[in-house]
Amino acid sequence: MGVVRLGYIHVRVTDIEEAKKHYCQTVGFRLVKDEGKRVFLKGWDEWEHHSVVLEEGGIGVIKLGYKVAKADDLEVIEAKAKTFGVAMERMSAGDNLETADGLRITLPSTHTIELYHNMTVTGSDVGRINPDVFPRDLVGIGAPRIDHALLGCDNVNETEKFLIDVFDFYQVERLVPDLEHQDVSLATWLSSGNRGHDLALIQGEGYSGKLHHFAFQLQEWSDILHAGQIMSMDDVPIEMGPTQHGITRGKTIYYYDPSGNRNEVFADGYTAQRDRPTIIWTADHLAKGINYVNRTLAEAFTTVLT
Amino acid sequence: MTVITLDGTGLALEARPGESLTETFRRAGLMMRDGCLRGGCGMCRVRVVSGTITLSRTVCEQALPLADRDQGLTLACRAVPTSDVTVAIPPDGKLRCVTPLLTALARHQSSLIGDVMGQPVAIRSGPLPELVPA
Ligand code: FES
Ligand SMILES: [Fe+2]
Repeated sequence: MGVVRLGYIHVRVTDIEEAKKHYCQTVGFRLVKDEGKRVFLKGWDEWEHHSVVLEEGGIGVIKLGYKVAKADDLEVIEAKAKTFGVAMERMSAGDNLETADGLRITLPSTHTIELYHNMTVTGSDVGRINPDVFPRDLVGIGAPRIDHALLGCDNVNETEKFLIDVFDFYQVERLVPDLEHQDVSLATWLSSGNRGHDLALIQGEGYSGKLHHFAFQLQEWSDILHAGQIMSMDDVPIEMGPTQHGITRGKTIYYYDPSGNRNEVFADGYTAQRDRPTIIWTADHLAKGINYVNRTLAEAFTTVLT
Repeated sequence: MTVITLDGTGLALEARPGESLTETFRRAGLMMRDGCLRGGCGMCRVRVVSGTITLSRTVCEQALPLADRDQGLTLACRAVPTSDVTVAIPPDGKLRCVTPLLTALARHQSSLIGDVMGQPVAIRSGPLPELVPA
């Protein structure tokens, strides 16, 4: 079955106290473990131990964890990755808090991806038996879970091939220079299940190893407006939205966390299918693809990665 | 009262306590090139020509290298004046007036400074050098 979903993301923040306040009070994630300069958080609808790790010192992404369905998947992926000659090592149980053994891979884009098959299940906030539809004590935006990440990359074609061949992702949408060059990816949206994307890549010189954004999942359009209202109350700088993407058709707001890492709240979008023909966007339609309603892009959107 | 003089524009603005340069600019109907407003992207670089500022939050090396700080560069979104300051916004900082109503108000509120700055000028939107009478 291979990769199931984005399980966790580990990012750097300049000030841990401010970050904690933002991710807990504004985004509404719960603090599950506080180590001082490093904290572990989860959303109310996530059943594993944690999904977001914040660590003080700089900005940007340290690593992303993708969950695989079973332990055997690790061997299959390891064998396939070997043919690409990427740096790779086995992780032991406990390398990551409450997480079983796994496989750590450096992508051609230099990002660190960890594949794990087991993390302690602590349960969601509504429980498993006759659950209510949301907990009564939601804080701020009350985001239920993380959704996806968009990473920077000097050569999207190279890294997407790796992700498709080794992780068995499939390509849902692709940004190309023009219709004569449909095999050149300037950006790519890859899925492992039925979400529009679990991992996306955008190309730019010097972008390898960098984070464009990671997203929190909300349910619907009205949740996106509510998130925007909370952001205004809390003086969160918004870069774009509330609007809809042409790409994935998700409803969205892009904003910045207190350190300047870009985040997104993302809702809805269509159900992706492995056999659906890949959607193509030409570069001249990028603004419509990203910001379908306004068709403009902030200068920072394609130039600022952390 | 803390005064921010914008080098080469003929504008001087009154800063409220604790306010970042960007916040003062926006309150005065002015915009400049920026991105995250969190001290992370480095797009809002300005030069402190005279006076002193403090950064209100930790700013990482990738947004503002220490060598640049030594050269008097800072990030407008995180810089809070600690004395009267003169600030130069580089050409690629694209300082402009977007809300003439607010710019006129800011000038009126700092009319004491206005006397020093010279004759009143018509405030209209656009690049700031236009605000300075020929
Ligand atoms: S706007 Fe990003 S550093 Fe000031
Ligand atoms: Fe996204």
